[in-house]
Amino acid sequence: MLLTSALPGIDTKPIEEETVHKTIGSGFLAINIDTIINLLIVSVIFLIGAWVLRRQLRRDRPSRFQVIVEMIIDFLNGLIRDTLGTKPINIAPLAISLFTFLLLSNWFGLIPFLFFKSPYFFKSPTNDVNVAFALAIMSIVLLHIYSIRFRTPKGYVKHYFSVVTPRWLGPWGWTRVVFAFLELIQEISRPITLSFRLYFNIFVGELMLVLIIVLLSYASVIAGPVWVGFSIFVGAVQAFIFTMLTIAYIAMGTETAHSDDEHAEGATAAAH
Amino acid sequence: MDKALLLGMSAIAAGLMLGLGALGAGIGDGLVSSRTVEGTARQPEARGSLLTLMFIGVGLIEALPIIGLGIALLLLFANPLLSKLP
Repeated sequence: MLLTSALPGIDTKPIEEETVHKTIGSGFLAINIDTIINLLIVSVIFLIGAWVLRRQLRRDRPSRFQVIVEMIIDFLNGLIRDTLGTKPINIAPLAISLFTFLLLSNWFGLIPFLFFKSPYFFKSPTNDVNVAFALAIMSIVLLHIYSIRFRTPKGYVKHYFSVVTPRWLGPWGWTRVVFAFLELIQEISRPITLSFRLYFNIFVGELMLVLIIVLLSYASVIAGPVWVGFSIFVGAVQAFIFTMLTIAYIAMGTETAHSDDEHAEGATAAAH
Repeated sequence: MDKALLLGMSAIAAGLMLGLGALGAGIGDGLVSSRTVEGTARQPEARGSLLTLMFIGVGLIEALPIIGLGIALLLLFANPLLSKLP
């Protein structure tokens, strides 16, 4: 895809390199090769970090690295306990690895790359919408699997028709079908919002970094670090929000239909 | 002529997108932060959980103007409509 620039007199090649992914193949089967390379690099860093951590685990005198990882794990464990309560869902390993992986990949693109910048290396893997969407689909499929397992297939289908509509909206069956349709739209929109929120935050963070370097030339010495600091904050917050929303969706999706039904019946009786 | 019109329209669209997005997000961020400060003043021991909730809220709010910023930057620097001109 050829993109023409609107800026005369400024070398816009870095901007285009940042915006357009290098692909192998064409059309529907195109593979973003730079994303795959960066994903592999981040995964290797992740695995090496885990291996180093495993080697120097100490019970009596923990190293600084171990203390940081323990803080993250404690924090997320407490969060999961608060959100899920006593439900028998073992989501903690997934949530912790998701958070650390997203944190690494969001920060990966912020490594100062001014002098050895190439279109292939040192971009965040998450500045590709495909990666973000894949992670979001993973979370949502997991949500539906847990939802079916906890509510039973019948209760899962019934849940869509469980919205209590006010009496003046019309007869019960008809409005419930309409509201089931709306619920379905909500379910479909979940992975889209989840992935786009992550993708656009990281993508814009890096694009702004390149823009600052290209457009401000020497003033970027001041503006660059400020934006990098903000991007570090945004990357951490977005990684946390992705994890948190995964947990919260699963907690919402596994509320048993039992209490739901009683509530609905009570409301129906009150409306009559 | 067409190109100039398209570029001008894109610049206006980008400005509107950024301005209106920042307006809404600013109001939302202000509300969230002020309520967090109120809650912390009322119950200082709940500061930790309130701060976590505030960051979730601010992150959710900030995503929308940043999506707007992304589309505005796309319009300004890599306009996909320019290549569609005859």
